[in-house]
Amino acid sequence: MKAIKKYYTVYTLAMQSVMQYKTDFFISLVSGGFTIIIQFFLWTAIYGASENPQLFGFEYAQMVTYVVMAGIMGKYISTGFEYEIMEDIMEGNLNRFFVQPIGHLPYRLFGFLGVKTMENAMVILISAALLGIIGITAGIQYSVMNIVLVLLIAPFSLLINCMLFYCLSVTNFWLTWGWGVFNGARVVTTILSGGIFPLDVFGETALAVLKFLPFQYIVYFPLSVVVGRVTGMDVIYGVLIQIFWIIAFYLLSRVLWKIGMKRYIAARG
Amino acid sequence: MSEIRKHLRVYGMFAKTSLMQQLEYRANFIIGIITECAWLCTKLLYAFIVHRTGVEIGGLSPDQITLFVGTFILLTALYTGIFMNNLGSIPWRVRRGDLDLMLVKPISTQFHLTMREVEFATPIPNIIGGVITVAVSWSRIGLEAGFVNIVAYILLILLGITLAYSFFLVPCLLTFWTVKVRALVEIVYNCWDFNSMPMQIYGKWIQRLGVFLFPVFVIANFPVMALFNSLSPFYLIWGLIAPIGLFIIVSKMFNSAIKKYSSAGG
Repeated sequence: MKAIKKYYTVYTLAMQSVMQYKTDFFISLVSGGFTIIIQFFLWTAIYGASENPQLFGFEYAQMVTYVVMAGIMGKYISTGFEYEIMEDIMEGNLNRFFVQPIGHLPYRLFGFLGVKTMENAMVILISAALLGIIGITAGIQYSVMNIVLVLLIAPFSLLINCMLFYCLSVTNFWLTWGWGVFNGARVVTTILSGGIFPLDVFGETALAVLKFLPFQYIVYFPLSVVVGRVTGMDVIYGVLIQIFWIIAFYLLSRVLWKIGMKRYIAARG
Repeated sequence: MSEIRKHLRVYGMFAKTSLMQQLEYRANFIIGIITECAWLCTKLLYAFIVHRTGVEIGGLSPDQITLFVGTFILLTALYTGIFMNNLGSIPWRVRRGDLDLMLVKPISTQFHLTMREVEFATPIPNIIGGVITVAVSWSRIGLEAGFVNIVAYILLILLGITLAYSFFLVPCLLTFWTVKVRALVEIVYNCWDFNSMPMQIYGKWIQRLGVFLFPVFVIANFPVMALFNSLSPFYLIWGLIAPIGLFIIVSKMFNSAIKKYSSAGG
């Protein structure tokens, strides 16, 4: 009970801290909006010029919904705590976790979830507005069931991405300045998760290979549910695979941190 | 003329010290190149998509669109290599009072502040990727690689990068009047990506805004449009006037801005 209380405090404090950084959040939303505008016009032009009503298995309405929501989903799953962990390692701030009755992973995780609760409430509202606008202008009727499903699935996507970057943050024990690793990993994750274009554009072979990797369960899978390309039992299988990846990354993070801590020298701490 | 020679010599020294500083942290330098390779892939993805669909957009074939993408990549290399870090650091340099020393140096303060650092890691993949993309699409289109074509293309690229410099410097200069410009700087910087595709994909009003009010399309679209003879005489004149005109205006704005500088904590 005590453990729950202390981490709940971390969570609520993080929620309050979001208001301090509302400008940063606003900037990232506007910046993401530019990519959405480019994608919207690109696909409108492509479908307008194509004689085929379906491209890569997507109709126009599905494609536009996908790419617009992919931009939003990118914001929903975004992390940022990895830079704080980098500083923890560089500045020797990990020392306090040796003496304080608080674990590093749960501290960072609950802090992160506190920030994301506030941010994602806004993201969900924007998504609802965008879906409404696209639905009205393109004459699409979304399944309420699919929307509810994706609201349930999306937190698992967030957790996969969160655990993936927590694992990557361990590189700072070796690199001391892992900025480039995080940026590189973010771009690769965005492409392979279907965060720019649906994975179908890469062809059947790539799609088959990517099924065995965690990335597609971050963006491609939930958005395939939104546009109605994944239904029924496939949704449940997908969620089970998401849970598998969360557990796998959690276990991996424990091992990596144990190895990394042996290199920790508490510099400046 | 001797002033230009002096500034060129100083720029050579800036480049040399920047390279030495960056190579001091070799792992970061290499990771920077790898990260930029990943970004390059995202830019090339757009060309890949257009090729896979095989459609003509606004009368442009997939190869012609790829030439736009290649030119955008080349300009990204130039912009990130020469200006991006320098312009991005202006707000905190002003806040930290770094200009104190620059103001007493016998070279142009604008030149010193906006060209002090030369980035080497980021442009490498973009130059290689951009040159290959431009060369392959150029040859697939069957464009004549004559002297006039090449000179016009290079000239418009140079004008494009001049325009980019002036356009992205404007929000940074506002830092001399107000401290909080980060949001504006980042939002304006993100306009850069509008050049990743030919402006024909956008509606008429966005095209007009992007050519005349926020002239981002002039940067990377005009050089390629000139190659395809699709630049109207009016656009061609605008493509020559806008970069030079905006550069003169921004230089005057810089001189006014510098008068507002009140050193660290001032």
